[in-house]
Amino acid sequence: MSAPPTLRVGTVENPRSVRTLLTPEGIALPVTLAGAGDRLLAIFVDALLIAAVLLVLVVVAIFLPSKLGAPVVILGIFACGFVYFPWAELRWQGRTIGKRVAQLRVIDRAGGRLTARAIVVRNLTREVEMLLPLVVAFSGDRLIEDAPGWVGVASFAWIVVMGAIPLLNKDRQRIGDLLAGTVVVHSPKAALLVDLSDVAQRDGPSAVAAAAEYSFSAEQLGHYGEYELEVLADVLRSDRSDRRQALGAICEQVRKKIGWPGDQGVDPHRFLLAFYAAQRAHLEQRLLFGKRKRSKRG
Amino acid sequence: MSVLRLRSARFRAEREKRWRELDGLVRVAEREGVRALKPDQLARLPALYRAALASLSVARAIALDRQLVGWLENLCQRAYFIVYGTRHLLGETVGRFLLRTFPATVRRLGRHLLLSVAFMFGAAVAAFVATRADPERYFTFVDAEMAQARSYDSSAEELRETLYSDGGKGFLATFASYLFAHNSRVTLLCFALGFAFGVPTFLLLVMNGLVLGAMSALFVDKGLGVDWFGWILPHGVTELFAICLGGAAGLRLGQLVAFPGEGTRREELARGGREAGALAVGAVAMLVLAALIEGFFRQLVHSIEVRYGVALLTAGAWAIYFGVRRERSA
Repeated sequence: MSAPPTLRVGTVENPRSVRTLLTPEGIALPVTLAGAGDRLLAIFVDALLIAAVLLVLVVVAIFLPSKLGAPVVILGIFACGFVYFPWAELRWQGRTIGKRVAQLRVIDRAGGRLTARAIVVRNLTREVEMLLPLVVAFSGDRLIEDAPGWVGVASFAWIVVMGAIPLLNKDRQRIGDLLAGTVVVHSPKAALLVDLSDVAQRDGPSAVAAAAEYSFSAEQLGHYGEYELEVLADVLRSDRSDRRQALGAICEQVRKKIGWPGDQGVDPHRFLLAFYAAQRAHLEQRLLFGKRKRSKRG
Repeated sequence: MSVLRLRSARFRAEREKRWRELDGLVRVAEREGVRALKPDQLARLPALYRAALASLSVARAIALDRQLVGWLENLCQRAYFIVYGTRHLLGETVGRFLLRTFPATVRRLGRHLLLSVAFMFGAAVAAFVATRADPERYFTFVDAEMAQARSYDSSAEELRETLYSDGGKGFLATFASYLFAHNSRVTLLCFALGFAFGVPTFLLLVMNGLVLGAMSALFVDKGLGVDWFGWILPHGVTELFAICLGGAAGLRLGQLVAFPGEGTRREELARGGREAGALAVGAVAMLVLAALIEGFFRQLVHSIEVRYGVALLTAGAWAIYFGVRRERSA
């Protein structure tokens, strides 16, 4: 028999990037630290947005009398650099527009309320961390007269160090995060899928009778554990193109393992759905008595 | 044999409606802010959140449907950020900051402020003395671009002109906004660079002081001392004080990085960083005032008595603002 298709259980997360948030109610919630790619995406979107706003501002300023146009541009640049990030993070609970696109969120590292002050502080250092060295590196000669070559080199070194800090420390904090005591986490919107064990919910009430055609004995349900249950749930929910083959292979395997009598054609999908429900009922029943079976190995 | 609904499936069916209601509220709040919620929705939010948390702990104990548990964790987490999120009204936050937090922080970090003032004015005095002793030193302290017409080559009349010209009345707003943007940037740099052990902050303060001292020496030498201080003090009281506050914030950061004290460096930085940040933000607010005085008042009002009067007035106002303790300090 060919090897069953390889399956990954849900999203395999890097446990090193998971932190636990203890709510005041005493419930531990896992949060995932944001990855470097997502954070780059967020800052890229924000930078793009700011560039667009500045462009519009400059165009508007051209049509204004110069008395009004110049202050608009000067204050606009200041607002984009220092006001936009704190304002957005205050308005959307720790998310700028870029962070919303990348599904990121700033939270308090200690799990408390994210204060306005923390938000402001973490954004005050943006210029020092990134913007200023970039300007010096690319046009230092215009800022500082007769700037020696090492100024540019030092600026690049600065950018590299600043970029490396969030990659090197264990909570992926940049300098601003360190000063404000904040971390950036990945906080996507999840969807609640139907309960696979709940026939009435899954296939409608009319399917309830039909689902009774398979029943399993306690002995037949004693082989597998929670891990296998999850793998099965993932395959049943997946929409991969090779799902039919996968279901067929798994069905074959399960029938062999539990000794399901008769090899006449069963519908793998319906068989496995019934098996999933029965297996989960069995394991949850045992769980109530404090007996866990993590996987088929025990 | 009839198909029994699992205990965990029943559990879910009984509660799913309320979870979904919470999910809906959280989505609205995430998209449009908490204030987009209607009053009755806002009132229901904490109860729904707590119910979801309770469901989560039950689900963890009885349900082996990881999709459900994961979804509930996600829902609780997002609701948590809304319920315990930044819900302060902006006006209220700003008001409390200006009335309580900022003056209280300035008082608490008084020693850092003194140090920062000492650096700046120490450098100013040194440059003043050195320049008066030898005018050749002027350009070691002030670079040519900044000096413009102000140098020992200019006549007293030309120098006087720089103190009383209105710089073209039409561009006062431009000038004021430029001053504000520039000074705020310097102040925020003073703060932000503090994490490099405070060294760049120290340098910025000293450089500012040197320019101030050298220019003062120039004008005093040309017999324009009274006019010069009448020109610089009305806004300078506020502006220099604000820059010193930024410096104090930077020095505090430097201290935290070098000597974290009792806790870990990370904890102490987080605690002290927010405190020092408050100084820097308050200083920027002061710079708005300074820029208005500098950009409009100074360019329009040339009476030396009025100029000194305003300088005194601002000094007195700041002394009261920072010196008088309000009842409950924040």
